[in-house]
Amino acid sequence: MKKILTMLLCFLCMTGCKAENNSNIDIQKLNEELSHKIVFEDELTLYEGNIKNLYGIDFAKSSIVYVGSGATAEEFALLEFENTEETEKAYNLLNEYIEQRKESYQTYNPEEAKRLEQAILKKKDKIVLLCVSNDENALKIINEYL
Amino acid sequence: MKMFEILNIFFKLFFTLVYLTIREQGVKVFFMKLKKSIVIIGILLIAGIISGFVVFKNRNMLPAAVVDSPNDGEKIEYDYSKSVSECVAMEDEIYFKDAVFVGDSRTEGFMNLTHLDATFYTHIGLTVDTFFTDPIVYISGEKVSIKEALKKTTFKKVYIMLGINETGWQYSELFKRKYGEIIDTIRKINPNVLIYIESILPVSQEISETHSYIKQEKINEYNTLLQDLAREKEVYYIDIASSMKNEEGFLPTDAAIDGIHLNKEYALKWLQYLKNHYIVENTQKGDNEQ
Repeated sequence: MKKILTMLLCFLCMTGCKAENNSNIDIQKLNEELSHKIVFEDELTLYEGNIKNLYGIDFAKSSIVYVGSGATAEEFALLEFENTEETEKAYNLLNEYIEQRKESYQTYNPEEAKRLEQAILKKKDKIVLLCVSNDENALKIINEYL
Repeated sequence: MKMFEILNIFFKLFFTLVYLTIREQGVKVFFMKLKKSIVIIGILLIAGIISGFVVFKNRNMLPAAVVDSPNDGEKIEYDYSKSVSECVAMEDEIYFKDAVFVGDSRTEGFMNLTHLDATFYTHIGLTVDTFFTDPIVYISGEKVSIKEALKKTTFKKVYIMLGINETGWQYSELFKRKYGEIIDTIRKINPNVLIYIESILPVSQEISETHSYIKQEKINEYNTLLQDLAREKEVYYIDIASSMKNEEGFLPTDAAIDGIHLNKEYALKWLQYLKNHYIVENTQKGDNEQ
């Protein structure tokens, strides 16, 4: 009995350690790091509206989104979700969003359509990141954190 | 009752009060009460002077124009050929809560930069054509055209700014006709709606001189057509464009990094202009919604 309990205790400790290693990313801290390092041409402003209007996503646990004046296609978004299913769903919606933006800009402003070709869309744990910028280092910077 | 009679009664009451106070409480108490009354009257007088000064200063600033709703069946006494005049600024932005803004990427920028609490149906490259056809608005999980979205939206006002993407069109009258169809469609969806046509904002001189089709001259022509359309359709024309032009008639170079899409400073000027130029319609006789 003692052996079983000891083994169970060890197992629980290992699981706990594993859970700690998979701790959620703090999007506030991540935003602070990235927003100072990635360069944007347009003046991006923190979006305070409902992101459902932007991306069709109304299930984010939290979000930090920066949008521009419309002069460029640049934007930056960090979205956090409750579980991996929602993360996956949001990732797909944002993929569609980028494709639609590319299509819109193709006739309206082909230069911006090219910028959207380089759009960075990444997911990790329960976070999805979208970054549209002309900064050549953006991907390298983002990869350091995600 | 004549003024003399009113004053007569007032002074009779006043001196009766004085007599009774002195008789019951003595002269000393009377003067103490008189001193207090003078202080109170003095404060009220100063407040009155300050209020009067404020009113005097704003004497040319009318309240929002109040007009009878076109659906009252009565003749409206409003000159739709003129732009909405300046009035006392709104104290807050509640007026826009039941408003829908329809527009292209510039209105999208306005939405992003002002955080205005209103409904925005905007899209990059939106035109008077694609208002009817392109699925761009999320309604109940699916994307629909603005026309279809409006059918499922509760709103009392619509602000429309379209035209810059159509400046490359060959026929200006076609642009006006299509714009008119948008107004007719919105009225059909919501007969009591208050509709604003926003003049097309200017572009920078550099854009006007170098862009393949966006020219300030064409924008000016379209705005003249839109003002005429407002008169024909009896909707309200808001001439925001005039407030954004420099002396040469272009958008100032510091207003937009690309000469077209306003930065935050100018987007807020746009909002302030709307807060200074608005209409309140009576939906019922004698009922002022303000």
